[in-house]
Amino acid sequence: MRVALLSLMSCGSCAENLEIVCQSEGHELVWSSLRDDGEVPDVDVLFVDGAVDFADADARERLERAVSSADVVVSLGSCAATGGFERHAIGMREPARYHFTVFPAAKFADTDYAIIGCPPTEDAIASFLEALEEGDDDRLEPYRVLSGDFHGLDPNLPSPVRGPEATVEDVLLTSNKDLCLGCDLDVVERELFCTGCGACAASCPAWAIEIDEKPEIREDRCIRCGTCFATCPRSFRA
Amino acid sequence: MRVETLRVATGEPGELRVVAEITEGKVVNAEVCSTTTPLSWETLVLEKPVEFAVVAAERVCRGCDASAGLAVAEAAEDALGVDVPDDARRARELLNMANVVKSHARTLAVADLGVEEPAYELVRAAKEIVRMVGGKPQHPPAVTVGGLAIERIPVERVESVAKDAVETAEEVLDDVESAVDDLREDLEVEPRERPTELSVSDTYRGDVDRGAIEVLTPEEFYRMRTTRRIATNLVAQYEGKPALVGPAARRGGAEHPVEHHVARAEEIVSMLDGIADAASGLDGSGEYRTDDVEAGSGEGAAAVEAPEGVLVVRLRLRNGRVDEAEMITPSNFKAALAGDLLPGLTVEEVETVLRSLGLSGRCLTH
Repeated sequence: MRVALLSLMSCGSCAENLEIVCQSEGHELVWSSLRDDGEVPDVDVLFVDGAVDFADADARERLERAVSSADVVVSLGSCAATGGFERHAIGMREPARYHFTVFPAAKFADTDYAIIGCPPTEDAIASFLEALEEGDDDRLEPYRVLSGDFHGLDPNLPSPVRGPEATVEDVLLTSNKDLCLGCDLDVVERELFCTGCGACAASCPAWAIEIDEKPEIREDRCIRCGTCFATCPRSFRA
Repeated sequence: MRVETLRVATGEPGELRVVAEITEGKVVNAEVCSTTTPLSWETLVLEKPVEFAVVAAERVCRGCDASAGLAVAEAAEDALGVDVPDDARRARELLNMANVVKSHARTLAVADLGVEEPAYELVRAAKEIVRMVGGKPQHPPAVTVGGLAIERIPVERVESVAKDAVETAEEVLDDVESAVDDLREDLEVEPRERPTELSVSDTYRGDVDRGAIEVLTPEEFYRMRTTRRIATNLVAQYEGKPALVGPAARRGGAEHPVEHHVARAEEIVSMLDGIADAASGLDGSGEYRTDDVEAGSGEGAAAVEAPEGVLVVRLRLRNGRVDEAEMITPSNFKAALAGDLLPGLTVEEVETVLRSLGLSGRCLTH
């Protein structure tokens, strides 16, 4: 498949894994913003890596242009899918400017799929691309469900929010740093859905979950990536 | 003469910019800065438990993730007077070496040197070692204050993976040397003044005189108005001068900026040897963590030789929470000297030089 990568507010680890998968699985990474500054050529899949800073008009414009060149748009990693760790971003040191404006890519562009993880493993990316290539809708369904506004920040927000049309309330609400996918584990547990299987703890990239019959989140290590929620076999409450 | 602001795609995350005065297609004067949205690690960790500062540091930039976590953990240990077991120190050194291999191999893979396939093989090998020692292949979660939160390390497997990768690393080195020879002929670079090299020590950990490091704001360092306006980064100097850090500094300098790639390829070979040696002398079920860590108060600092150079962290803790934090990254040092390497180059050549320096917008702003 012809693949492109747009890297926004990101540490670069998701991109690293995508590069390795493309190289080893024979997908052609024809464009990457990490290596190219020109326009995105027509591609089968665009991966968006990293969150979007609402205050960065240039990034929003680059995202819009890149999306228009792709048949399928995928949020790669938790920062792109939910804002993830990047929602901790504070902003400038001096003058005291604060960025309460970090969003998932889906807030500014129509995304088709999302792969949660900090970062998503090479296997997860390879498996997704294989399913996409084969048009296997059953295997793609979890990635589809996790895209768009499923991140739970505010299900009532019109999606996608486009640039300056977002109200201040929208910006503040969707940047609530106390909310994350992982917090929904509380719902899973409170509603007695949790079986104590440990999938959340095993998947946690920060080792922030300990299992004592039920999961206990160590807030001092939680990065709010949502990997636990996405991994939980009981979190998809139909 | 015109002044242009160029976006430079170095292969690393973040937004790196060169503000350049250009005459007849060539750079006359240039400054390198970052316009990356600040994560502001120093601010976001305030009042948080110090463990959060560790996991957050590992998410600043992919290249130095383990090294950044180690630097924060060691600064916290310095502040709290925590004595880390010897096994943990050796395992941490091993982890940092694997991080160097991972970072360098990926940098070489995207540097248009014709080594993409073998370099990514090395990335995979290094990630496997990081996973075995640090718990996961990226952002290793075992890094913690007091040691490594891991019960056993499969040392024989670590040694075997490292030894198996050496042959590939030597092939990469040969190819990189050849590619760099070609690049060097095409690129004439004459820095105005050869910088001094700064490295922590011959291992990954040591002392850097924090008092000799000067951290400058954009208004204090940059001369061009445009750079002062757009820069979201600080710049670091050592003893009042720009200092070269990273793989070339560790081997005693570079005559030409593209030689940084050779230094990386050389380091991959030596680090893999080092990992195999370290693993063979390590007790797989040793004591990797001390329980003697209390949520106390104090001030401490640590300097780690991260893949792209010296990384300094200073912490002040109050009841186990961060009261004040500072991180000085390799790119903070590199930004001070990068501009001096660019006069006389075309815009295309500027990208080649900055890519070889290993500058990351994300690392620079953090």
